[in-house]
Amino acid sequence: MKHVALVLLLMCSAELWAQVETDPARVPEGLVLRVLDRPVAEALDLGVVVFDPGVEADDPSAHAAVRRIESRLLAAQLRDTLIESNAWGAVRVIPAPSAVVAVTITAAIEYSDGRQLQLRVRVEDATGALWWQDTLIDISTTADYPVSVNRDPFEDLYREIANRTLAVTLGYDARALSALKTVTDIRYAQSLVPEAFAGYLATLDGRWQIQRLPARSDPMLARVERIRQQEYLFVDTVDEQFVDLRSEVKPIYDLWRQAGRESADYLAAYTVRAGARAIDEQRGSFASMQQVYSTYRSMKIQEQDLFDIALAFDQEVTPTVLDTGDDVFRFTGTLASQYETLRRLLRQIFELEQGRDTP
Amino acid sequence: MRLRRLIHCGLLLLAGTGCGSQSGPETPLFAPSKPRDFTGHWEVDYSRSDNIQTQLNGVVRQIQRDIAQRARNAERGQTMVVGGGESNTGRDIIALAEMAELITAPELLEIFQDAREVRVRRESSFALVCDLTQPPPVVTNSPFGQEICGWDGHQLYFQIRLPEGLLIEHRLTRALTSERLVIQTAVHSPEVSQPFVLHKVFARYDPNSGGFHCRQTLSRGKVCTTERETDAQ
Repeated sequence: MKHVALVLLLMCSAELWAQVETDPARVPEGLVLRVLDRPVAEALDLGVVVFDPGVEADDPSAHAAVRRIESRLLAAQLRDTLIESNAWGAVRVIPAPSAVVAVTITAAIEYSDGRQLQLRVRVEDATGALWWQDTLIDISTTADYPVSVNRDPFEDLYREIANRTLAVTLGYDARALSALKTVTDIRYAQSLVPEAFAGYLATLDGRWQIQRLPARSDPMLARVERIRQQEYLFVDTVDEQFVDLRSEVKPIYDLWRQAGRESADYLAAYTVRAGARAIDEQRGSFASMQQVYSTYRSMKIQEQDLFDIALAFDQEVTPTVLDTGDDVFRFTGTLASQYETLRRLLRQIFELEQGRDTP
Repeated sequence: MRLRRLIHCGLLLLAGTGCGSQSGPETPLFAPSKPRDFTGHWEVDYSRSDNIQTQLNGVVRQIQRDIAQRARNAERGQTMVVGGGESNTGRDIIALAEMAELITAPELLEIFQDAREVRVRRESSFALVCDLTQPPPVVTNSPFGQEICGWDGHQLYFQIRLPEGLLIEHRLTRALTSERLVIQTAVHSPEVSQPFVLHKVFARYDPNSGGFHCRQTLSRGKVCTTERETDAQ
């Protein structure tokens, strides 16, 4: 397990790198975000899949609701960090893994409170190549709270993910990046019409490799591209919902994390004092009891407020209305089921168009 | 603190008394009979609620009686049972009373109750929540300590165990025929042999009767609106 030992380093400079650092070993892990002057050649589109919350989808508890909210908030936070690095093409939060993007980041929340965030992260590309996977842990400090606007107590962890992913990209030359984009295009086309694009790719050692290329004039490719734009439109529409979610929930979520951090600090100090037997000197005094009660009360108030809003958001399944110009589609149900419905619909549209064009 | 000014001179006599009887709470039976419905808005009725000075005097008198009894027993050569380390000093008793005052400060309650849970929202404090889908006692552990709740007869019982040996009990009672709700709060400290017990009586009220109603929020503090709750739904 790789630990991002940032406890003492969080106070360090937030200066951003304004150039390409080609030696990944020279980049301090998680401390600074590597920012490029411009996206790398053949800028790859990158998808951050909504995090795995680690709870059952039908778990009605408030804790599970908070986890499910976090799975979207944290994915959006990572997306923002990746965008800041200026290294990628479009960076989107996607409801489920999709062949629509060249590089996919998936992450599972293993532990999350105001003090610690632990994610199991996996990054792979459309060829099936595993770029890297690891379990990352970040510990916040009291200096991380209160959380400023557009900041996050665990931004070091997101920077670590961004830097590591960028380091892999920088190891690819332009030709390899171009090949990856081509594989992405063909795999997306295969997801719509497997039989039509079956011979273009083959797997070797678990990775997709190009066997031949479709003709540029192939009208099917143009239709695939139109369909892909519709999927992008859906993802971007959903992304607007994430923006709304964040503006509603993030302030309360940050207060909850701050209360969790303060509670952890109090308990750690209490344990030390109790271990040193110093606790007896103050035990029973109003000051010591008031501190215990006030800390507990604060933690409970933040928790209950977050639980209320998390449950409200969790129970409210926002329909997604997609205006394609020609038609308006309304998707209901959970986000994952909406996405599945969309992709099924796109396949049907593609087949219909295909049938119309076929003499 | 107001309570400091109310200090009874007799408390000073208790300083350094060193021993006492047990201070832990009695174990509830958790035998639900016919749970009451507490649903609604409630405001404190000071005329029927305990006066903290009176209660403080009562605790002091009880401890003085305990001390005197033990002293008489000792004179007769009977074995003196040493308690769990309670000091029963005036400072500790006042601290306990101040804690009770702090804990029972909320003046307004809003209670939601259905078959799944009871949620007692308290103004400027956290809600007492009991999951009724589990058989009592419902135990919730947190890094801070432990919460226990459940129906104990027709009373709803909450217990909160916190560090420093601080233990808080709340018992909610409502007579069938009365529109009044009583919360008995007992605060225990390992330094005082007697819990500090306060009864607060609440009466029903209509939150819309004043033409506005308020809600405590985290991000905006106390938010008041003239919009009727039924209009908002």
